Amino acid sequence: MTSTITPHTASPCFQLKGSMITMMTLELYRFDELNLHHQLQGLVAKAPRFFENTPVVVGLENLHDPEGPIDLPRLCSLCAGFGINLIAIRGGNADHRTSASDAGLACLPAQPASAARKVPSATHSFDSNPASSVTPLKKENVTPIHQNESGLNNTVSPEPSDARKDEPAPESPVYQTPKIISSPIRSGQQVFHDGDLILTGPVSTGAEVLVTGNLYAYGAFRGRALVGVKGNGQARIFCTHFEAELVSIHGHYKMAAAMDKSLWKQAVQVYLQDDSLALKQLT
Amino acid sequence: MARIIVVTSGKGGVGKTTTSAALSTGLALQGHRTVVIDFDIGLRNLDLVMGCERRVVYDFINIINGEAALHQALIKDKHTDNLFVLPASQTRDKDALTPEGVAQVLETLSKEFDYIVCDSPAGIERGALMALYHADEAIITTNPEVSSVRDSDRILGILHSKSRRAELNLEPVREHLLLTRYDPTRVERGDMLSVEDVTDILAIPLLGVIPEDDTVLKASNQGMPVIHLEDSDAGNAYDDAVQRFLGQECPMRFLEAPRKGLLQRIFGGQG
Repeated sequence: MTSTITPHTASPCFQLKGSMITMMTLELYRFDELNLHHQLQGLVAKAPRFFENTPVVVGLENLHDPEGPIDLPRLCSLCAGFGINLIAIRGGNADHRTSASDAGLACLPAQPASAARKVPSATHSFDSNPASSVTPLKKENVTPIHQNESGLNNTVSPEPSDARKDEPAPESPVYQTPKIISSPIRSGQQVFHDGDLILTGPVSTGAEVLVTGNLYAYGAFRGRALVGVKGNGQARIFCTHFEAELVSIHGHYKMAAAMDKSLWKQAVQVYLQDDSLALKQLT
Repeated sequence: MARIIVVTSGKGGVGKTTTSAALSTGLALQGHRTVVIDFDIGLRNLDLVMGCERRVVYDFINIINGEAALHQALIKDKHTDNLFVLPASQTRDKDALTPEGVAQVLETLSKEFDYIVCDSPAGIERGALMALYHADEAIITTNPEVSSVRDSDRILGILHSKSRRAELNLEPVREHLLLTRYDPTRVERGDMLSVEDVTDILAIPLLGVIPEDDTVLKASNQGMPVIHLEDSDAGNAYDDAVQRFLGQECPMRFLEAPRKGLLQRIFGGQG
């Protein structure tokens, strides 16, 4: 997939090396934005950390309509909304490559047909979209990826800006950078943010954090966390050090006294399941 | 330009005035020209602790209202060179503190002094807000118990949102935690929050730990800042805190309960 160029000049500052990197490939069958969004959402819901800090290549060899236009900047922002970092396209025609360079993606040569066939068919499947009639094997718009060998050993670097959007409100697929607050939130302070919020400092007892999207708290969280406050039942709360006085999603709330004490000071996520709050330890 | 230091806590009775007296005396003893201002208008206390209550003629409010000149109201401390006290008024209330007046007084003092220590009243109302508004540094005086910690946390939030530095988007106020009335024996018994418990909640650097000490009360009643007493643990701890404030490395003391001697352990029974 990469070539080797190694310049040998006097005392070089660097060396170019070809290396084989196992990379996730998102094989696109057709670019149907709405379905794509829907299916990505399903995928990310099943495995929220699946794409975290993982570069992804879009494979265009198996497009149902190889000449059809694909709005790659749009695809990029759609994927970014789920925390999927597209870095390149593979294959595709000249128009696709132009669109890719507009989106800031690199262009890789198409994979030879023999290699492409090794796609494990059992990686994933979605039930949301009925089979398309063209190729019976390929049921979906997207098959998430062949992960060859040790492909997914994410070396997670805690880059806050990479924070993924877990389940954004369906009507806003556009990637919104989450807001990051690193100073402590003190007793009596109230923080509101429209969108996702990342807190790297502590939140004290008596402080209140309200967000319309998801809340990620990396410091000790001792205040009140209210997410999905404008009616997003999909919003979640993630705390690495959970001591919240109160958690609330979309109006459903739970006080500390009603919470399982074994979760105290643990890494915890809170989400809405069948109209009741589920608090689960993150392992 | 002087550094303006506010000694504040939210909660009352935790040792703000004692700390203001000790800190300003400590700074002056190190050769810094220092003035300590009592912002507790209506409940004048600082002059008692500083032992200058009989020499109060004019006060802070007189200056704000233009009824006296600044040098008429400043009381030179009789124990320490370089130290002046600006007392509060006992006959007025905190509404007499106007933002313009306070700003003007502080600006004038800034030109003459190295440090201005503002002794904040309890609460989060006008007096406390006026005391902290101009601060460059804040000494958050906290007792190791939950309500004091909660109130300190609240006042830290106010420093972040309502101080001059916050409003003008300048470099934030430097915050220092001063834990007072610390009793290691009670901490070991689990009756009292430990240093770690408090720093974990407040998440600001620790300036010092002042042990619970009978000499504090005695010193206050005598009008002698406790830092003058050489055989007082609290006085020594304040001394250390001043050194740290001035950037000296200084190990924390008085964090361990005094160990019982061998005989006491043998004959001390359950005690």
